Amino acid sequence: MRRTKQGGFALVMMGMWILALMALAALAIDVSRLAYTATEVQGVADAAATAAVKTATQGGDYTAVAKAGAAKNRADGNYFDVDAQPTLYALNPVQAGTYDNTKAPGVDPFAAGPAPWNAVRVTATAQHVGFIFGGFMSALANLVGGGNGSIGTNTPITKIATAVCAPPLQVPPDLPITVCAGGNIQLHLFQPGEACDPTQLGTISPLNAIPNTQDACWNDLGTGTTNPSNQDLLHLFPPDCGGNGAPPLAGDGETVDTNNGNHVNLFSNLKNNCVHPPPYNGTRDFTIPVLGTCGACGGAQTIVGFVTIEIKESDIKTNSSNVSTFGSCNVPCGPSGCPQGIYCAKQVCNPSGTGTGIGTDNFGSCIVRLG
Amino acid sequence: MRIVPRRKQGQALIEGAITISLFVILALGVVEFGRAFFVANYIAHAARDGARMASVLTYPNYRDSCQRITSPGFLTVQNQVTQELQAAGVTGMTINFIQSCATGASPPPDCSATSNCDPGTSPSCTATPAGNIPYVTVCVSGNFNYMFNLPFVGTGFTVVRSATFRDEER
Repeated sequence: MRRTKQGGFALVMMGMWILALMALAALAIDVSRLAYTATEVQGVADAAATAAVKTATQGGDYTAVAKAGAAKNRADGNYFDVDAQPTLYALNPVQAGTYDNTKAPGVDPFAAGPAPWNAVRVTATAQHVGFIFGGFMSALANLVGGGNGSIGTNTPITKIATAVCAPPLQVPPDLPITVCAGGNIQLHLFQPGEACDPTQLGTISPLNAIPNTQDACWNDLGTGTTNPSNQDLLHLFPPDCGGNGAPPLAGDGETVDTNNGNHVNLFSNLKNNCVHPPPYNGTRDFTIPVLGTCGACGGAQTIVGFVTIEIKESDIKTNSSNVSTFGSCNVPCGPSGCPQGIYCAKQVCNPSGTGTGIGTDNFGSCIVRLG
Repeated sequence: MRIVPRRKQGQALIEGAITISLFVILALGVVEFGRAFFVANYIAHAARDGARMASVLTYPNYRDSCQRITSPGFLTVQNQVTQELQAAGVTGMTINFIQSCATGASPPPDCSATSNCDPGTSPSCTATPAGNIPYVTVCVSGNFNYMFNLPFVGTGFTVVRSATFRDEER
């Protein structure tokens, strides 16, 4: 009789084990799904913040752009559209402020506040991420614990992203020309959080007559060509301007070899092949390195930042004809006339349309980074 | 000497076989599900990294002067995404990108769509219409194959993951 009573005991035991394993499996699946959804929500926050920061630095409706950027990405099965699905998704708050990475470690470099802004922080929440096995887990918990509690059916997931408009650390310069921050060239140096005011921007005039002024130099963009020929320099122009490939990257703190050289043919090339053709039609922006040291061109100098300048076709002088003034900003030529060169180039807020940024050597170029 | 009734002989063995089979299937299912989530997570991550990279590709290395992403630009994104996927043991995925623009909170273009609001190719550029925000979408799609041939779940499933960022160079 005893043996008969024991029949099926192993089956019962294994049934319990399988129930326990199923509970573990359910837990594993739900936790995996939560982790996956958290990744998605972080992606939404990143997309919203990076989309909004450019608009914020231009003084636009950054909240609307953050919502639009978020709605282009999925989280928890749907597009993160906070207007269409207000119960499921929230972007709150969307804050514009300033980001200063010189703050001490442990201090939040982002501070929400009034304009001008250089950063946006977005808090994205998927408000009801459901548990697939919530009911099963609750029932099991009640069965084992004998209570009548519940682990609930969903949980919110919140992720935060901060995007900042900052000076580029490394860019492929558009022209093998550098300017220095002082001397005749008065570049405006932007402070953290400073918005772009076009009236504050420097007119780079004369960016000319290399070597008659020493505020601008030809340079090798770090290729090690210390005495570049016309052809060497032409190779460093953009491909549609006669360059033979992508220029090398140059970054803050790197050194480039500077050079005077009589490269007047390059001004003709710049005017006729670079600035004149569509889609530029006579006005084109170039991002070039800024050097810290003014003085004689020649030898290695250090890049301290980048500036984007707008060059007009009519401001490029390609011959030595003697005129009393030249360029859209009427540079007086004096008795010896104005030599070949680029005149009246204008510092612009590019590419984001803002000059805001962090760091100390920001001349107006800006890229968006996740802070 | 124990005498086992004839009708009970082998019962424990059969019980054991059934339960161990269920146990193994369940355990393999847990492993398979875990891997599926892991891979889906990796693919979503790779798509996001690819889209972020695509959004900051610059002229002239990776875009033409109309800011349309060129072949070298796409190859750079493709390599980045492929390398990330290979780190998770995922191969054979299709990667594509779409440059688009929109005014509000509309969904991005479908992964099979061609670029709308195309910036055009140099020199006939098409400007982004006023009030529109330009976007770039990177899609990663392909088949995820199960490791174990478990009953009732087929051999795998199709994964499509996309990420959309503001196209910052336009």
